[in-house]
Amino acid sequence: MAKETSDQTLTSNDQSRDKKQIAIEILKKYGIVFVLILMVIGISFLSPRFLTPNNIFNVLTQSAIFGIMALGMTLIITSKGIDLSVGSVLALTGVVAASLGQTAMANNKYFEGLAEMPLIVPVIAALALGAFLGSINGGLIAYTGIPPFIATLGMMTVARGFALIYTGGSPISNLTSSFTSLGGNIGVFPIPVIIYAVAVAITWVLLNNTRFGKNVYAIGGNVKAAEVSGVNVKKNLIMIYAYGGMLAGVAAIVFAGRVGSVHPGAATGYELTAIAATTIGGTSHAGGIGTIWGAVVGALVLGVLRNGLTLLGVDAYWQQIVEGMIIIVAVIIDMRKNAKKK
Amino acid sequence: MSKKISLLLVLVLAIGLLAGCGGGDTGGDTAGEETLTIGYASSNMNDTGQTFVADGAKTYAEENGIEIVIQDAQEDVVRQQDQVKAMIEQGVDALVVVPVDTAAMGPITDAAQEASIPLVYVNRNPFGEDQPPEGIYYVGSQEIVAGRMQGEALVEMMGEEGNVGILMGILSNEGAIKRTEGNKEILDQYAGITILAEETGNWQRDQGLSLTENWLTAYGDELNAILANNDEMALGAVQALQSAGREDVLVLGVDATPDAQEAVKSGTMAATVLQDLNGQGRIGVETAHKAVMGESPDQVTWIDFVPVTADNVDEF
Repeated sequence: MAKETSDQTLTSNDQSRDKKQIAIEILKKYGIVFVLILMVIGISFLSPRFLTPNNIFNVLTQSAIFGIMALGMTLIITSKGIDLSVGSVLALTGVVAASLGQTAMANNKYFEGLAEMPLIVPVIAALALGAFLGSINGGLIAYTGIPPFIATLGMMTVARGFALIYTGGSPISNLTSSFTSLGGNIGVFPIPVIIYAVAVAITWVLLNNTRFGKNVYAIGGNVKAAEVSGVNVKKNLIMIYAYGGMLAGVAAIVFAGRVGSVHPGAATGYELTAIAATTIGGTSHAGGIGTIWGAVVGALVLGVLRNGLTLLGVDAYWQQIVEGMIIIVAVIIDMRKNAKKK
Repeated sequence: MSKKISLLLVLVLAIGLLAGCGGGDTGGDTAGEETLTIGYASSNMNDTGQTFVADGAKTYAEENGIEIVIQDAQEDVVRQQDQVKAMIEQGVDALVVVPVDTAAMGPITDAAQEASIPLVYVNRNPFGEDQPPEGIYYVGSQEIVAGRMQGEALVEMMGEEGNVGILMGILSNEGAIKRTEGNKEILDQYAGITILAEETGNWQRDQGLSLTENWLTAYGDELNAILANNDEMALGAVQALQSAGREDVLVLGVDATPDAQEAVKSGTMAATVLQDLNGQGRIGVETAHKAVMGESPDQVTWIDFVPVTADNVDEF
């Protein structure tokens, strides 16, 4: 982008140099936003249907599920961890929530004779179970010292196994109308998008305006230093992973509401989409660096890409290749940014 | 302190695991000389489809006074090999195996041949286009037939003109490749039918939903029909079409799952295709039975798919 011009034109005027430096700083910091804007402009030129209100809401709705997971992932990766289990946790919390949210007369009813539950029951169940599974992740990492990659890899397999056992391999469907209304709209706004927005706001406050948020950065930046300065690392790690698991539960509720059914094989590979969104958004795997707006932009980059490639009729095999390349390019840009900072 | 807590966590996990692994193995008691014993090695009894295959196998065995020993490999190739060898040691008269991995069946084939007992592979074909070796049999369905059946059913309902989207399964799966190939074999015969798009929904309902939303944006009223490689994706398509208020688009799936049968009954799905899994299990044990009795059954038996539409859905 406009990087070269600054090096070439040596201005004697300090003020204009400052301005340019500020511009470069902004470009570096918000580079991924420009990538997103360029993508949007490019796709809307090639497909006139892209920038219709209906399609914009489609992109946002389609991004909501892995977008919500990416919020928790941002906290986790910022703390220098990773969570490979969120896709499986979504499936397990999803099938449990769905089993509690079936209509009274559902065929293949999971709990026979169970009356129709108010929506709050499956919602609480999914969030609580998600937080519980996440806290096991955090506890394993904090107290046994095994790497997050391994702990959550184990949980990924265990949670998927439980989802299969719980359901016997078949999807749980026939959800109550109040449950599936979560896939609908309030006015023109899709409810998944509203839930996503609320999750973004809460997570933003949590990360930026609370002691817990400061601890996340401190642990990711330097665990030893954090410990010395009085941060309870173990407790905070459990909280971080529990929050990530709880958000997987939120994503499960959105998933179930939107799809009207949860399959024990649901969301396979979504953990990687969430990690990709987080990484594209500039959260550093070296720890200590990560932003919520970045996670949102990262999710939108993937959402716009998937939607756009379909609208443009790009071959299914090529879509995967393009998606992979975008992730790599985004991280290269991001690493240059962080390297310059140091 | 931390040691205790880590111990506790490990315990919680272990107990959870134990609680999950219910159900004991069937001990194969070697009964009198007259009763035939057939060893049945399932790939995974947690897979709903595989329970249907096993049910068919059990039904045939019961009806014919055959004892059947069922083992569950839980998708583990090595475990399946061990189980098969153990059953041979037990002295079973024939083997029926649903391969965990069709590419890794060599050792099992060899073991059965060495013990010179008949071996019938069911549901997943280790031999591809080739003929099985002496004393080895295969019973299953041809995925491409399901694709052709979908295509034919669509042409019957839509006529010889229209625009179609194909929702594919995981792109490297044989089921996805062959079903799509079967779709195209039929659709390509009609100049008036255009395939607008073929994309992967990875067998998942939510991805079928998102893709259909995007197709509706891209193609709007041009889109007349969706062929999905399985019912889950087809049901996702139905969801997207309903939200968009499109009742004119025909959706066809494969598998005839209970949800899909409901959808066919209520008219939101046009048709699905049933893979006769119960029949595969039944014919699989029958083939083994015949082979033991020296009746030389066909080495390869194809079990047909059955189209399920509003006309016949109540029969299932």
